[in-house]
Amino acid sequence: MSTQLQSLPAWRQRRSVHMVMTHTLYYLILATVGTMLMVPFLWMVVSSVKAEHEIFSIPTTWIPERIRWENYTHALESFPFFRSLLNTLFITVSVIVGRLLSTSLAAYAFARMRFRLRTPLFVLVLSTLMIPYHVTLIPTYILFTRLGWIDTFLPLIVPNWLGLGAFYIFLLRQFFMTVPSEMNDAARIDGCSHFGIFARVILPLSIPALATVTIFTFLEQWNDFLAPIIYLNSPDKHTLAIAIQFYRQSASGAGWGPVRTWAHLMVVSLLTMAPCLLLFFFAQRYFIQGVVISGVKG
Amino acid sequence: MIGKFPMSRRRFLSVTGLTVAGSALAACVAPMAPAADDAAMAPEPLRITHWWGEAFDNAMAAFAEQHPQYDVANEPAPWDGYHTKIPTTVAAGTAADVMFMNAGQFMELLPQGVGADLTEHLNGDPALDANLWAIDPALDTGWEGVAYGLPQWHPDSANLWVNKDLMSEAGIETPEWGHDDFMTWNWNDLVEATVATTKRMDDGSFEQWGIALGRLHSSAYRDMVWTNGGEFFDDTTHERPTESLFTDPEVVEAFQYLVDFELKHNVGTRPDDEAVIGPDGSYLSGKVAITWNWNIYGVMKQANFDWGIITPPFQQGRANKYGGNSWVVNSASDHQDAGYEFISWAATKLEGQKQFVAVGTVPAYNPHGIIPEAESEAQSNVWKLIIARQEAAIEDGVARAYSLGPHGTEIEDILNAEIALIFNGDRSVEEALANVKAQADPLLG
Amino acid sequence: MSMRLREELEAYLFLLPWILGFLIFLVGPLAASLYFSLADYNILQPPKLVGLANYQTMFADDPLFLKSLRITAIYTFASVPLIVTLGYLVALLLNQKVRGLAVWRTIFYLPAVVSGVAVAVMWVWVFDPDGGIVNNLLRLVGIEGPAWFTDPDWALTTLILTSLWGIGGGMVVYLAGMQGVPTHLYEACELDGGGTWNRFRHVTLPMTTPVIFFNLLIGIIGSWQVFTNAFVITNGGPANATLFYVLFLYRQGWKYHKMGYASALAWVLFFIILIFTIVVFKTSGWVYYESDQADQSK
Repeated sequence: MSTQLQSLPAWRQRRSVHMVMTHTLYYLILATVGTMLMVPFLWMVVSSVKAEHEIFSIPTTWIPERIRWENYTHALESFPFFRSLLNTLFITVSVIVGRLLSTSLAAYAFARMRFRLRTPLFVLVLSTLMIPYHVTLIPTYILFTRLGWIDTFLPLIVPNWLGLGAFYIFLLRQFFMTVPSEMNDAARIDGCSHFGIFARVILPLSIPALATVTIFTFLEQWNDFLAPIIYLNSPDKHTLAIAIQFYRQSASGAGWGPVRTWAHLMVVSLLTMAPCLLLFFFAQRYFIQGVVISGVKG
Repeated sequence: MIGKFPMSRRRFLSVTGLTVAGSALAACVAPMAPAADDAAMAPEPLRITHWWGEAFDNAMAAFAEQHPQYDVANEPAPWDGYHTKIPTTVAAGTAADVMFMNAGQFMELLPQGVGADLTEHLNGDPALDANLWAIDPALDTGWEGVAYGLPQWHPDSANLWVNKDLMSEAGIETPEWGHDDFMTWNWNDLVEATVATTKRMDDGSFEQWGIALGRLHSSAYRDMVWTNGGEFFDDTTHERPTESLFTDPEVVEAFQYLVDFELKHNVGTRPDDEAVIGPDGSYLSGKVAITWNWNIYGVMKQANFDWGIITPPFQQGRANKYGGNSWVVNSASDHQDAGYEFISWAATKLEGQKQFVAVGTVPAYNPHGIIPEAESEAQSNVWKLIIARQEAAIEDGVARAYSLGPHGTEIEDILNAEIALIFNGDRSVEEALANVKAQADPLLG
Repeated sequence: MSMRLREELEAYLFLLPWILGFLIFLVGPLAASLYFSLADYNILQPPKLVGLANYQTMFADDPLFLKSLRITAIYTFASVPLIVTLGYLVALLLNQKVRGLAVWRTIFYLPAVVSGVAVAVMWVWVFDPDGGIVNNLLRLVGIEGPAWFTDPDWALTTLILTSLWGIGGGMVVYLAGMQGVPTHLYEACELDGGGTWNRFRHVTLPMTTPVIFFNLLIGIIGSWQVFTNAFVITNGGPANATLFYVLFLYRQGWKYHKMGYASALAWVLFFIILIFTIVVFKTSGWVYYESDQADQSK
């Protein structure tokens, strides 16, 4: 999309004027939609340095009377940030690793291998997405009780090492199926086993898909609060999402617990969101057009 | 076939466990062994759960320190998962020994074997004077005369929290507790105050609200109905209602009164305003003259204006609810005596009460005893008002159960759906309440 | 051992984690919920078998069952096409080589991360009947807009509109999918004199049909089970206008403690979603997989 107006012949120049207009329109759309999408985020940032009575002032003000950085230190003093951060990180990273391994194996079988039960098993995988968790929660909890896993991280992690996450199996299957089958065949001729193809051909070609699984799983685990609330009892095992729930309870003034201001809630919410945004910011560079395949195909 | 032989809970659990772990793993997993209690020297484990987060940390630590014979595990869970976690853990047989419960959510669970019957403990507690309860535990967290829990807090009904600056700006004098005008303040006075304090911008949107009603909560309606001499059900305890009374004239009149704040006077916050900022969020913005809420003294401390507290205006009597938050001992627990020791410490002993009033409320047992412990004159005034109103309400016979009984949550949803149609102009109050009755009565019958 | 049998066995090895996870963690709870659906089960007392009574109540005696089914169907048919299409357009917009791409993408991903009070505040600015942006714009053209969230005739429409806030997730999948399009196809298209439109029509679009298919099917499965938005923003109101199926199910199970009835509702939902899924698979001839076509089940 580079524009080099000077050195071009006349007909291309006309085309370039057209391109400039397209460019302008393009950036206009990006900027307009982008601004709208940023509004709640900006509101949080501004609110986090406001005094309490300013936050819901009518009409809304975007410039605080004074920037109160002290909100940040005060909020962190009363928020078990580091302990819950460590717990959340441990759970999230464990789940991501287990999920990448187990769902990609299953997805490979469904996308690339011939076996008789392929269709029925794939339907079964998808079926597990169709029952709301509300009605399986109690028996699942009783199961983990029997296993003696209550008040440990195991119920949150182990099922994900065993492939549970039909959404991700389906996602990866779709990606694996887009890899041209000649690559398979070439590798087979070279004497590669299925595992060899999986590890040396399919996975390297599916970095964008694996990045997607990582981004989604991170966000899902980072924000999940119902399962941790149900399975974890001890406060020292609480995750960030649980800590935020407690914090929100006291900020929303239900009278529950120590009084936290809305500004403080914004501070801890922003700090909790930050890793999700940073991860996306760095992971999205794997979404660069065509780099992967063109190298192989030459 | 199976249906003819009702299973015991233990058998049900083992059957479910088998179904559930219908896999190779089931064979290698030993069932959770109950903790061995025989070691006399080892402290007795005691698990306590509640939804108040670290607000109770100090109280739990204080109890543990004063009672080294117990190994106290403090297990808070946020409210948004709490009402899922409690039934789940009860069903699995792993619920905590002591559970904090809210009458509105859990009252109907108590007689199902969740709460231990406390009658013997209460009768055998020499330090307890039954006359000092602001409200009978058997009514507050009980069922058919049996106490299943001890109320931690005085069951304060909704209050009107007043921004005195906005009131005096509009030329309205806020009635003060202890003055005569406080006792004669009535429905018309409230309307007048809210109309005078409402301000609008040019485009018609609010610049300042007269009142934040919290209309999504049906508790405001209950208060108004009861203060107007009406009832929701033919059973005042709400334990065994056979018929609802939504079409009684006192009920209709009270609903009409509340609805008119928006439909006729147009002075109240809309539900979407409140969904965002909550009644107290709007209040702290300094743009709401009067807000209808529970005891939010803790929030009020942050206000940067002069504030006061008054009661919803008296009509026939002083409205009140009973049923606040109570401590319940798990009826399946192996540590029920220890559990009772904790709940009686928390609810009835001054050293326990002092820990819990730090979050702002009045104890339900011997409330007058706590007054000297108030952190400020403002707090002590709030407490005195709440206590006096509760006593007056009981005297007038208008204190009513907070929970709406066995089908309470369902009836509340029916009620809210019909109220929305009133606000949308699709139904008159009479029509809507007749519909509520028509849907609610079959549930009760 | 023949190649064929060997591959068959290998496939189950790839699927082993999932099969174990399914047998250990899913079969039991699913069977239990099926059993509950035939029982009167209030969570606290053991279930009592009542045969098909729960299913009978649903169809014969519960107007809210049909109402919630209708609401959910409308939502599914309206929001899924909207989200699938708009998500794709946004991904196209962000699949360009432009300055600050990482930042733009992160901004468009923000809605997936920001939630809670900040978003709720924004919806009031947008949809407030008096001072909201939408109604102020409508007033300019002489239309008095409705009370979006509180009018039972409009609340569902409003929720459908707010569901657009969630297109960031679909966008990520599309972006990842667009990276799998081999550059040589674009080059070939260019050589044939194809412009932007042809490139899109004959390369990008067909090559990304597997991810469109994914977002479509996941969108359908998810929107039949939509819960959080209806629970948090409108809580089913006003006047049950947004009483989505799973919200109804949740109320029956966890508010009214009729877990047997809730389980029956869940299994009915299961079959509805299953039928939709099968129909979508049977009509997926438009999906193009680069790998061995004839052999692949869709």
